[in-house]
Amino acid sequence: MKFAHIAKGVATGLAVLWLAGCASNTQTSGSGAESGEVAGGHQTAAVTTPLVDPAVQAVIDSGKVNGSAEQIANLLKQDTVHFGFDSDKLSSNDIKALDVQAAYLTSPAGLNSKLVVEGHTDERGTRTYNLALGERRAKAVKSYLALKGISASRVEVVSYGFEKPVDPAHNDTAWAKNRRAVIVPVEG
Amino acid sequence: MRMLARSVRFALFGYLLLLVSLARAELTIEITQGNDQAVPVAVVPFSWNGKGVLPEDIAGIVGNDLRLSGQFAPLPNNQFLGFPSKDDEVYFGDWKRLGASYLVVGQVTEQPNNRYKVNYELFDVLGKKSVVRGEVSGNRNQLRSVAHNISDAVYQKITGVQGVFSTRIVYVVAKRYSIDRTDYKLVYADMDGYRAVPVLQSKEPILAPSWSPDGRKLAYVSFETGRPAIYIQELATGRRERISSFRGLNSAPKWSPDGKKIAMVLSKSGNPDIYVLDLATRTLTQVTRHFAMDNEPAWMPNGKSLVFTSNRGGSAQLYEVTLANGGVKRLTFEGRFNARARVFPDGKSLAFIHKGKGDESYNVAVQELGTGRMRILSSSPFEDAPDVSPNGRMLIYSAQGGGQGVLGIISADGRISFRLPSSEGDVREPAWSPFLQ
Repeated sequence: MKFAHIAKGVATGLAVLWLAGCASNTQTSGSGAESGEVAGGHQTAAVTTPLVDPAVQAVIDSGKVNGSAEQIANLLKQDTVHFGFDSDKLSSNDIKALDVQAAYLTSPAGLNSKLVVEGHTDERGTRTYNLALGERRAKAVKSYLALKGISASRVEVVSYGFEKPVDPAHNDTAWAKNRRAVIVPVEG
Repeated sequence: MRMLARSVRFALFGYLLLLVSLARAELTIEITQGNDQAVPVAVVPFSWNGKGVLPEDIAGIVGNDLRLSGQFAPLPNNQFLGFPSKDDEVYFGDWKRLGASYLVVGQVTEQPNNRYKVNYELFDVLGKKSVVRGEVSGNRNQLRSVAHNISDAVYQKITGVQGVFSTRIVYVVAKRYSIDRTDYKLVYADMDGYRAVPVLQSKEPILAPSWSPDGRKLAYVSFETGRPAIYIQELATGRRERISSFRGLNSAPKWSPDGKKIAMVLSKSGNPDIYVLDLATRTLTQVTRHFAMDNEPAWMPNGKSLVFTSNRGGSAQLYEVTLANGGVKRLTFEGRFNARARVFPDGKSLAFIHKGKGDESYNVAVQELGTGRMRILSSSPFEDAPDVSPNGRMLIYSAQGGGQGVLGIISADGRISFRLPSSEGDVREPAWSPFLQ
């Protein structure tokens, strides 16, 4: 199942490339009509029903990140990064996701989108301390995206401290989930 | 935007009026820790001269107030040998036998136009003499205030310290329905938790309320626009004003002792620093300038310096900054986390949240500024937001109890503590009013 998905993604990428080559071929030679028709049929299918999300395609096209279409799709879907206790350091895993987000946001497809990065904390410490810590986390994401070429004016930051926990329980599992920054696209 | 603000204001005004008449107790008190050195006192049920039933149990409220102070232990009514209501009915021997050091008696008399006259008298049982007597009156809705007035008079006469039973508290109640929906209320109540009235409702977080020194206004942080902003609200009218909505944090407002300024945390220049806003001129002055998180300002009583939290030394600790020259001095050295300080009215001690090295819990602690000596007052795992009563004898704070936020009151000496559990969701962010007129 997984393999099929990857294979389809790769096939689509190839089909698009081949289309360009084919177009120049038809102009220079009239002899390859048969193969041209066959190729044309494939091309139409690929273009009208894209098998890869255009955002994923944009990331692939950027050439800025490595990975299969599926890996990229998953990283692009990952809108949340997590932090250690009282920390605003990004983990290497989350950085991969941010690299993919950045590749999309700097691609022609994502160039006009804006976002809000929400910073959150676990419940430990005081509410007002956590409000500041949450902002640090959101800003860590914003700064990383800036390094990757996303201008500060496109990224707004808001901290909720621990006012909006994902999991309101009072244990390590809940705390780990709640220490997060969430990237939210802004409509329009 | 302005239209919206106006409609919000009117809506709140109406809400305030409506709910004053529906006021009821959201918080009920339970003792978590007693004081065996409390002074035994007998508060005899007040006699009632009127039609129907006595509208409020004045003696019950007075007894409860005295118990809340941590300094008194009211004796149970069922031990009483008699129920005197005025001086010529008092037999000191009866009360001495019970072990009462003091005795409070009184009468409630119904008067025309829904008014009630309450007479009370405090006796020194061992000295066999009257200490103070007085008369307070009010309408039916004011009877709890009348009772708190009597408590204040009794407390002051015996201890020599002004009582806080007529003061108020505000706190935030959050009721979470799902990750996307939580209702927040800023609630105003008597210090014993009764007569609770919501003064602001929102679908977005409300936190960090701070009283104006005249007790007429609150400053707080509200996320009602989707971003944190600082608002001032007049309690009597519900009139509100947004005073700070810079990019980034607008947090932890704290009114200056003279009422003319508000210290706050802004991150508009990149990271959280302490600022002071002059309310008359709207001049904003930056007080700290550091790449660390400077946060949670609290005024020293003389208004000349601020205590604040900063992690500039690697962990959150308390510092003091002198406004005149910007000089900063570190105040706490023990433990991994010392934050959200409140200064005692005499300026000699701080209350704050402390986490020790190797500790997992965050607790209310008090440190004497002169000696640097720190005491941890309480022991539940997640305490927050301590605030000091205006007479410096008690603290209110938030804690976790039974999986939800509750308020705790603890005497400043740590000898007695109370829980004020809520029937209505998570209770947090308490702030104790100044003495009220």
